[in-house]
Amino acid sequence: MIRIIFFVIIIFLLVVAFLFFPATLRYGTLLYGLREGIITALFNLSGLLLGIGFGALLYILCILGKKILSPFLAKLRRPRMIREPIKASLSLALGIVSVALLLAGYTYMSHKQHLKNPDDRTIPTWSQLRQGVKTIFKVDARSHQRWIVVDSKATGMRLFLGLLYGVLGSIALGLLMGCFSAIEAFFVPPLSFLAKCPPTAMLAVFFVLVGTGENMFITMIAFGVLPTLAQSIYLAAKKDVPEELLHKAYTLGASNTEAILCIVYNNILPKMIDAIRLCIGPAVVYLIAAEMLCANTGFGYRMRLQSRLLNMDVVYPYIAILAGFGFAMDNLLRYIQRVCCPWYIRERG
Amino acid sequence: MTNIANISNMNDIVLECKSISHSFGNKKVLHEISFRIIRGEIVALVGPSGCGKSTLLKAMIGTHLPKKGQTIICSNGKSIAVTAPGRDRGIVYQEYSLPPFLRAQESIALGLKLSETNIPFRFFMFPKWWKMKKEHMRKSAELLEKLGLKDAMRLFPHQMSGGMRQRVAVAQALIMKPEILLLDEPFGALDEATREEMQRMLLSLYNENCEAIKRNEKPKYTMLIVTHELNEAIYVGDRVLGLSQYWNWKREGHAQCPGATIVYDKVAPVFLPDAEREFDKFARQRREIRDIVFEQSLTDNCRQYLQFWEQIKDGEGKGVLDNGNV
Repeated sequence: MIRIIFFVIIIFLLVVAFLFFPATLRYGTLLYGLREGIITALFNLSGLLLGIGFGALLYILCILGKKILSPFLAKLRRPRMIREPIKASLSLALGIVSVALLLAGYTYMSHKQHLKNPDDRTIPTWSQLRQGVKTIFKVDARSHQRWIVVDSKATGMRLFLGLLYGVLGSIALGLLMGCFSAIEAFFVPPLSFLAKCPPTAMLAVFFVLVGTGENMFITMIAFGVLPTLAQSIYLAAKKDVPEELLHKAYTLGASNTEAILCIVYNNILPKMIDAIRLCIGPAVVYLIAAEMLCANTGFGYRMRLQSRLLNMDVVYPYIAILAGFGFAMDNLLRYIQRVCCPWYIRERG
Repeated sequence: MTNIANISNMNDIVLECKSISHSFGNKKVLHEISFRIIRGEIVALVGPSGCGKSTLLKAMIGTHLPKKGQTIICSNGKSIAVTAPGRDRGIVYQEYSLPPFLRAQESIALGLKLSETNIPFRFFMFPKWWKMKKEHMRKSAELLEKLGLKDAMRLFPHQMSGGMRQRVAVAQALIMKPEILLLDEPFGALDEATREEMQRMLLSLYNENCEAIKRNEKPKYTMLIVTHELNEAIYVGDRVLGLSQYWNWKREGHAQCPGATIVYDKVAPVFLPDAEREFDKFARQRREIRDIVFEQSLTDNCRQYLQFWEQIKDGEGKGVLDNGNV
């Protein structure tokens, strides 16, 4: 037994000497190569063992973790159906993240651009934008007026009057078309054709018909929204009011006018509001495009002028104001819908 | 048809269909439909699917006039040919009877508003209209309370159950005091319990008619109910009319089916609203209607089942149709 232990110790010492005292061996000899090979193998082996150990540890942690996290994992793994609602808090968080990402993306792009060119104005920094906003709101030295006031007044009035005429015309025409077959047959062909004509392309026609003043913009918006909006209202009046309801109204003593105003109009009012909401966007597009082409005041005019001068610090706030206006109008109409048609909101949940 | 003038107190006819025939293109739907409805009756109209029950109802309402024949309505003591819908005929459909944008109370008041005022009045005489509106709402609330719908006054149709909706629809029609109330499968979409509750409601109105006749007054409610449920027809109606396309038209010299016609017209047992439904009582009649109206084999002489007026003459009618009662 002692001899065996002595033998093992001797072998161990020889191996240690062989492996850890390279000076004892000459470089390039067979033993030197063998020693290098063994050391590499040992290192690899230890790496392998370490890897296996680490993997095992992770596996154990995973098993333990799975037991703890299984309820949450089950929720994540459950296949989600389309239109499945999410928590209000998650919805809000996702909305905030999307806006934050947008702002962060803009900040990054602006920063990158200003590293290349410190005087750049195509993607202005936040401080440049602040200056732009100040420019918009301060009194202009040449005209002695504030740009925002002049432009809002001009664009707002054109948009308001254009939409007013367009919406009122559409409601009247749509209701009549939906209720009387003769009016439907008379107006469907021209409206289907006009709905496909881009109003901005017809600007030249409006030049000729109503001149180049404010009337041109108002007419363009009114004629721009009327065909599409009238068609939406006409289809709602025709398809969304059950015949039974009209027959019932007649048996209650309603005249044709009362059937239209008391039954059809009220029945499709929420859908009309939805259709009006959808037409505000195109109306703004038509107006801005027309103002860019042939106006001397208004948002479109100012944006064209400033973008030519590469003053994007002024253009971007104008775009933001337009977007804000659209957002406000949309929410105002939704509020009106909620107040005027509580039955529709509740029916739809 | 028997001369009803000979039958005592049975000549108060509210509605009469005179030889009504209708077709859609080449498809013949109705053929020579003739019947009369006595004031205070609840007539149940049954028939197989697609036989033209709804078409006949539309002809009576006046929304779709028949190609041949006419409907005569007795309005304020005058006989008038139906050419358009009018307030003398109330209607309750299976669905869409109530405007979705009106609360129950407003729905019922709608009829009063439409019949008693017009747009210029409401616009130019606003203070007067405001007072009238208050009165309409009060009447409407009273009726809702009577029908046990006090809690539903402020509810929109989509917030009410099917039974509540139909009760409001019946109230909406009844507040106009129509000469006749036409019901187009009104309880088709309801569950069994609610359906029974609604049937009892109609029977309670019928009971009011019987009481009115005993007091020597005119009965207030005349109804025609279109249904495909035979138990309902016999239970609710005091008379059953069967409309069917399965009749022996060859016997009358037609080369092809000229459309559905009335093949069954008999009195039905009368039930009190609170009495138990005894199915045995109408098992025989039910079988008879099924054989004559719904069976596709052509009945040899279907006219033999048009016995209503003979039955009345023989004193077989009950309730409003009881000669001894009136």
